[in-house]
Amino acid sequence: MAELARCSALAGVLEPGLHGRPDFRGPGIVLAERHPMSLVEIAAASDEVSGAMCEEVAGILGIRPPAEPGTATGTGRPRILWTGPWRWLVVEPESRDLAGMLEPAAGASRDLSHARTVLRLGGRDVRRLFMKGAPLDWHPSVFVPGCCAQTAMFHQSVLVDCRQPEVFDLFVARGYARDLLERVIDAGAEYGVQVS
Amino acid sequence: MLKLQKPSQPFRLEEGGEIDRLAPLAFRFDNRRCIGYRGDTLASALLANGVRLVGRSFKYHRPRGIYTDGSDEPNALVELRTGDRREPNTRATTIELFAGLEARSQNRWPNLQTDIMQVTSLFAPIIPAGFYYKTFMGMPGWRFYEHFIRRAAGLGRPTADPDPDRYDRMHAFCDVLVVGAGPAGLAAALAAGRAGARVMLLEESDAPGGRLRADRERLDGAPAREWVTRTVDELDAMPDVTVLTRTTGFGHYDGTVISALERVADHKPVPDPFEVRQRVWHIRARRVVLATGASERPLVFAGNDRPGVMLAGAARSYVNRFAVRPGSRAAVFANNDDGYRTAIDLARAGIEVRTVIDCRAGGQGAGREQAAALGIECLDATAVTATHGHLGLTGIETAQLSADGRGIIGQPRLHSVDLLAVAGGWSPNIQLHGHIGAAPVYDAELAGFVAGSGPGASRSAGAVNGAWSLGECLRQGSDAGGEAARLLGFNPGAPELPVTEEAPVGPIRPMWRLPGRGKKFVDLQDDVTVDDIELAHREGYQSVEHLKRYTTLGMGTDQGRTSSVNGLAIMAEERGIAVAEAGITRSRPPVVPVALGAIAAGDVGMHFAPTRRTPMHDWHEANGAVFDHAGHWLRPQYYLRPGEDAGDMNRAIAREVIGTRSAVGMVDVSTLGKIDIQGRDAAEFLNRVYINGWSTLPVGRARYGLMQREDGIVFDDGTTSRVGEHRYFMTTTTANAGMVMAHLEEYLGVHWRDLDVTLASVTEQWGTLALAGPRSRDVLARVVDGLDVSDEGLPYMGVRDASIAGVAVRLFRISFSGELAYEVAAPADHAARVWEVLVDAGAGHGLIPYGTEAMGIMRIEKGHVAGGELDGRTTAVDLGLGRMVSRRKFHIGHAMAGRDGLTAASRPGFVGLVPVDSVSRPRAGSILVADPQARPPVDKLGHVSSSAWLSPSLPHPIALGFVKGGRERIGSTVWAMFPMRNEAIEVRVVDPVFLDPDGERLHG
Repeated sequence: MAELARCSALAGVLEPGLHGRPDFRGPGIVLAERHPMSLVEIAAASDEVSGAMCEEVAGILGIRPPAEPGTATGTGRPRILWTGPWRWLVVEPESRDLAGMLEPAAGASRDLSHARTVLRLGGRDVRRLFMKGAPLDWHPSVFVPGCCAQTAMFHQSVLVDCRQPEVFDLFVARGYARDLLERVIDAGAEYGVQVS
Repeated sequence: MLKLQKPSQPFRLEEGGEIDRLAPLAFRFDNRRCIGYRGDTLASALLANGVRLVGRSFKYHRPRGIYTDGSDEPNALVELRTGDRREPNTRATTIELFAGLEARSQNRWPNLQTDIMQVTSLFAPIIPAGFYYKTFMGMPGWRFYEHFIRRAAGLGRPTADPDPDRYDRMHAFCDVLVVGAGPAGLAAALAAGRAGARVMLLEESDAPGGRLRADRERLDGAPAREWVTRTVDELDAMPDVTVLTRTTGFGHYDGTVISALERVADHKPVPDPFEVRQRVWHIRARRVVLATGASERPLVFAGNDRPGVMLAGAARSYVNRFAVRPGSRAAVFANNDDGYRTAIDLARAGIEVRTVIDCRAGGQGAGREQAAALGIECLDATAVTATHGHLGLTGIETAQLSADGRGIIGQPRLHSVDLLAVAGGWSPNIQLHGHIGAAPVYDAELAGFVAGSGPGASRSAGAVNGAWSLGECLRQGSDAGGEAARLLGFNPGAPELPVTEEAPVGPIRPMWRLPGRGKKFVDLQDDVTVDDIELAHREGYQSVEHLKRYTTLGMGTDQGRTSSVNGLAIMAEERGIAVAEAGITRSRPPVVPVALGAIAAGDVGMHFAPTRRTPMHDWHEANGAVFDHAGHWLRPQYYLRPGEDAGDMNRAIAREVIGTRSAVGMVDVSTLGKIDIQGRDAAEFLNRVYINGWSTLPVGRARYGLMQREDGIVFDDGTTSRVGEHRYFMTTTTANAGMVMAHLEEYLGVHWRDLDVTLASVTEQWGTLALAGPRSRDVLARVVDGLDVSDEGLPYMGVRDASIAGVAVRLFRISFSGELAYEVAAPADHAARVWEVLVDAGAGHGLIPYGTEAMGIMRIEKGHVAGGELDGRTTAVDLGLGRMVSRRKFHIGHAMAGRDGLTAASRPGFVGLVPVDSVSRPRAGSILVADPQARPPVDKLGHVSSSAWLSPSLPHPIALGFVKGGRERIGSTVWAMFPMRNEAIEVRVVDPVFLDPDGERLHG
């Protein structure tokens, strides 16, 4: 169905431009939606299957799922995030049949491409923004690139992936996307949020 | 023309202080125009302008003045700002002056000088503690009196308008959190910061320094402020040290969590654009150093509440930090050496200090000699026994104390003074320790309670820990900060402490109350006097916790910081026990008042809870949907057409039911929980979680399933489809989606580790809609590609993959409405498109969108159970679904469902109910009884669980419910009672399936 344009949960809601306080240094937060994305969850029910699954996935994609909880591997095409014991989320911008590619691997795979909205957030105040939303230690020496965490951000379940010291991907359930966007823009208003 | 005289500041000193004389600020107090300087608080600016009377007391409406210089202020509460920012009960001592500030005194009428309610004072002898309780308890007409009583007693008036400002919340983490940036806190932060720890330092006022800003201390041979500046500069230069000013730690919780309130913009007329006004911090620290200092205690003597009576430390603060003379002719009354220090500072500021009245007979430190050398009269073993002056102090009486301090010797002597500085010792601010259960320990040397050891990783340093000299505060702070860092693996190195210059001091003489006639106030904010405490003692309220609640001692905005210790010590004296034995009340958060707005932060309005929208939301909105909340979800309740308003609700709902039953309707069911189940043991897994069997379900078929909790009560229901050899697609109710997922995850992750099954919530992956009605197949047939949707191609309970308008969809032939119906699941990003394609295809068939109201009515007409029936109290048998229970397999709740109580024949069974008069509407929640006239206790036969006030398909309202005897009662009548609304409706018990009992409509 690649020829059919997907309709984001934020279609018509994301208003490009500066929201909140203008600052001569430029906006404290920059925000964009990453869409359309391919997201596939891979999961296993035992250590043995999980090991085999990771082997196969590494063979198919060239990237091995991270062993360490709360971390991610890959530079983005794809990126594989640890989301639970024997469970990972494989993520990349939509360009190929990722779900189909992972189907033959051991364990279970599920296409969640439509189930999450992905926001890319960056800027010098982005960690302060996260401090408002979630009780995690966002210090740049603690939550470093390669870390990911599932937490409650503004009372919503999110998966946060640190891509660069000041660049993060936020995965939120599609139905909550608009609400989260509103909260982010509201909470970021004192820093200025540039939406693109 | 009237010449406007520029308001002057008659009590401002020519030099000194931390105020900026080049930045004058105009403000108004009770419409009087005044001028202060940047760096002033409202209190210091009022004193500079000669305003001494600032409020009326809570109960007796007595004139009151400024008493302290900080957040422990009991008297000077004012209404700040105007309009929608009007805020009552703000402490003038903590409000930083800004240009255009407007404040008004409270609790007076018509004005502060002539307060009619002051007559209350005359009745004071007959309104002791507990007066209103005693008088009005059980007396008829309380609701009438209450209005007047509440008006008379009182604090300020809040605005009724919505708050225009933004509030915020912040979560922070650090290694070492230091609360309080006085000398001890600064030394602690410096030690931890130099060791390399991540440090946060909280300071309540606008700048660090604490008492170093208010006293003329010297460090390293220079004014102490220079050390403060150096230290703050060094801390600011450390990348991982955060100094938060205007921030008060107000709560201390388990796990070393401190909550703090930052007043981001309270010092401005209005916050800057997009700036938040206040922010609540929740700080998770690995170690905490509490350096919260101490609050000075008053001495309790007759007339100790007159404007002009002020705590000695506050008086020093006003002359030293604010360059204000709080009076012209002063006396100092003390039971410790702070009296002399105060007298010296006041005299240096040009105030005529007439006398220092010391309770002690001797043993004073060096201060007494220095004061005497300045020509100040120093009286030993003497007390203030009375004060004079109506709206402000004009004089005091002193008398020689008897040896035991309980009586006076000789004639009182009159002194003409307008300022009386009172030094009664210091009470450590141990509130934050109390929050985590650290027991206060009485220190007789200090005559105060210090924090005992408590749980957790917190310790105290400085005055809060009983350190009374500056050198000791610095040393304790440095030690505490260094130790905290060391315990976390940092190397703090050797401490570097500044050199202090301190004179030796003599011991304090605790004097909890002093002889003399007249009201002696213990708690100025709550107007609690010595008499009230004595009365509480006589009436048996002797425990400090009872004392507090009976007299309201310590219950004001100041939380008893100036009054608690005096009050409980007086009670201890009454009981003839030691102060240590009487103990002190347990403190609870918050230490200072915190606005609810700051606690709510951004969680207001539509963001009170997160809002969840379906993929078709925008279409619903554009087509007249009125939304209802279903958990976090917004669901269309019904659709209004152009020209209709809320008054047309019933018409809209009837239209949707009739349209669906007669042609075809479409409803958004994306909110149903959806769980993808994969694995070789998936069928076995379903066998265990549902009461019915799944082994025989073929690929491509759906089945209705019912889940039980462990205790045998029904948990949830829904259809589950087999979509592959080892793959199932489960649906749950909207309400229980999250709980079912957690329940299944727990069983797989904890109890059934051996099963080869994995789960994932795919609720958000799919947008789903139900197409129902006799024409639904016609509509579907027009748009579906790659599938024959006839009875053969897609039989009842069949599941098939197909495509609609190029979108790969999954079709389910299932029905909640009882009509020929389909559910269509499309990937969420394409679901709105599929919905619209169906709307277009259905245009010629009379397709109508319907909402949750019509959906609910149609399921009630069919007797399908939903939330009202699955209420956590019913069993499968109660619901009439007992035949579903498989006896051949284990499933959750299997054993407990067989309990006597759950299988008793007397349990109410599921039935339909119809009003006998065909008109009345039995309300859900009504109780079913046999006799509407019976007197309580009345035998309950059951209840109404769901009700359809209008059933367009039938000529009368219908309801579902549970009644004892169940189906055996069909044909008989019972009464549906709703006493809260005084409703009694006779209802006939009928079969719960009101429409199409044979299910013929399911096949079109």
